[in-house]
Amino acid sequence: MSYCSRRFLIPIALCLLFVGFPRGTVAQTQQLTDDGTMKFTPTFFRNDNELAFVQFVKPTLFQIMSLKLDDLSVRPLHKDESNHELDVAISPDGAYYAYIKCQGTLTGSIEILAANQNRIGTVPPGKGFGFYRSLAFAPDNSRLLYAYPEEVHQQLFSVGLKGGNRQQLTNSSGINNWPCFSPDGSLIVFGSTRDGNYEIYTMQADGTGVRRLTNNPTMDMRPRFSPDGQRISFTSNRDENYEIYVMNSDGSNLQQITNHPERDDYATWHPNGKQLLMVSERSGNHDLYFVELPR
Amino acid sequence: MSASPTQAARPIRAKSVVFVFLWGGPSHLDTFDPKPDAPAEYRGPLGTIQTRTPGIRYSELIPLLAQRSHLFTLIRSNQQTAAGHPDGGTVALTGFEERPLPVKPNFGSIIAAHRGHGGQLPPFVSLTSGMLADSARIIEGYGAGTLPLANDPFLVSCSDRGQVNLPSLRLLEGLSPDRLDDRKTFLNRLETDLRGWDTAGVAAWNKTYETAYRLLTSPEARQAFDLTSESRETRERYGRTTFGQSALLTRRLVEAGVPYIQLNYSRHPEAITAGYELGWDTHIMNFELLQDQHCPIFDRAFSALLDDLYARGLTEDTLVIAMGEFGRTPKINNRASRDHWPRCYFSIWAGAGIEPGRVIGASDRLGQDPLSDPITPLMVGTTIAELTGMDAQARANLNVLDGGTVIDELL
Repeated sequence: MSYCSRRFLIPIALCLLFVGFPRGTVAQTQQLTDDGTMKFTPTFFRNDNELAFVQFVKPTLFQIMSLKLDDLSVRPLHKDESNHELDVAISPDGAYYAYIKCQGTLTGSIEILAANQNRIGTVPPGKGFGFYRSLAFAPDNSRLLYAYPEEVHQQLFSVGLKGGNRQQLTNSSGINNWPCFSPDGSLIVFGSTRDGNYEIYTMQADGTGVRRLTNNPTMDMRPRFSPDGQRISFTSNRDENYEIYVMNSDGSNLQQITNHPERDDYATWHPNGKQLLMVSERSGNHDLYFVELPR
Repeated sequence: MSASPTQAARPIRAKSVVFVFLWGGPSHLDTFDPKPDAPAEYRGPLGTIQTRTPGIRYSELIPLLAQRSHLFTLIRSNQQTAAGHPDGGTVALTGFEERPLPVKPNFGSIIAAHRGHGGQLPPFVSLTSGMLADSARIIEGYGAGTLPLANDPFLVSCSDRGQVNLPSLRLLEGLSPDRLDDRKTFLNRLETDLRGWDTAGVAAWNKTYETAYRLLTSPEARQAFDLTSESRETRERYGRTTFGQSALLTRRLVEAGVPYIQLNYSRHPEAITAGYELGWDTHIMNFELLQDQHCPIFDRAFSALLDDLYARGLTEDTLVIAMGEFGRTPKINNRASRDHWPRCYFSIWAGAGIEPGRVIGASDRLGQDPLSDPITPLMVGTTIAELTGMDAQARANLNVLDGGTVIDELL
């Protein structure tokens, strides 16, 4: 879409749509993109004026895009990149970002860069097939979290921003995924199948003190701490459709935020703590939306 | 389960065949044959949901198809012999191993040879952006094999925005049905672009161009490829994806009377490989890719296709099949994913008078092997042939599907 047509669409994008809530209330949403192609892992970039997300731009390419909120213009972050780019993560202060870059057949590396795109570090591909997943920065930029499969199970690890000094944080059966630090850096929330299916857990930053927060027979995934650390958003398939939920950081006070027959997924918090940024499928199109949280 | 050689002709129950090829090999345990009571290292992390078929559960990743289980019959006891992609693809699409040579014809080429080339549209259309291939080589069983080259598939691609292109005509850069204005334009381009080719090269392309020319200059044929005549609501039901819009194009080709359409999920089998379309070969990120990408896309598009075919009464004489070349290892691999598994997998059958809402065959408690007689690719091809009215004598006349038996329970 051209820059001009995007500017023209701003009033349309600012129109408020509605997503059903339980108990007769509605959540207001604001549509940010309208191209409809599949999108993943949106996150705030350079304060609250710009977003980064992964887009399935064509059948052979996932690419990181940036979206400026003042004019809704969308551009590739690395315009000449021809390999898949996945799971973009931004440090809380916006000084760094990281992503997973495909490096051939079924393998990839973690690339860690400064905001000006100078390379800071790399975690090279492991031996054989294997792919890193789900990157997340520590609040003080000291570490980068990621998930990686080894010996049947998938564990959580952290590295320094130069890519070295790897530390293993989990040692459980099943798949551990989607780690996210609390704003004060003391806790990590993550998803795990250690008890049979995807549930949400927290642990201390050193991997100790694991605590289970959810318990239902379908997937609970992609947890994210709110900016004040008091709440956690996540995606759940508990009504046989991907919807966004929010709960307190101890697992109490569960609230369903979206309720639509199509998919709502990849929620992340707006820095103001009052909205979530998410990918929603509407009429077969996958676009970015803000959704207001209930007061 | 019994399977008997067929001697007598059956009535023509399928004027068109839709073969949905899930290239790469989808995991049967994480889709249509979950094992919720198996140990965790087999079961995987996904939950199961009830379907419209009493007592039958699917993975939680395909809720739309679970709601439509009464529209199709599921086979859970498919089995084949080749564990690699190109060779497994050949077995899945022809019923025979690639060796010894010669390579046998694709089921679509057999139907094309049987039905002939009388219409404006090619008798065998394969929806793909190019020849199906993994990172090493093509599927040798992609086309005519021992039959005349005229029975090769005619390749057509469709973008996520519904733009149709013909990879066969790629050397005529920019030429597509919506850009071809008149015969003169086409002939001028053809003459220019073929200048410099040797005689053999021109001959090899001759049939393709003849078909393409007929297609591009026939209003009836061009109409079949024009998705813009579909309502926005219809296009959205299939999803804004390449596979979704290709599924919609498939329905239009069925309406236009194309005898055999191979709807490919992707051109390549690999998952997450630079420069390759994403297929179902989930040696890594099996669960993430299924839950984030493949299952939502397939669940939506295939459900829309079934709904549309039923709503228009097209299933009465259209056979719809969906399957990969094999399944995936019941035991989770070192990368928390699943590898190739030809010993047991699934297929979906709808239309053409097949009684829907059933499950035929069963796998063992870990999903490793069929408990009943296995359903082989040769049986798949023979059943397709029977339902299109091609009896044993007709098959013998073409020297195809030798030794094949039908899936009796299905019929």
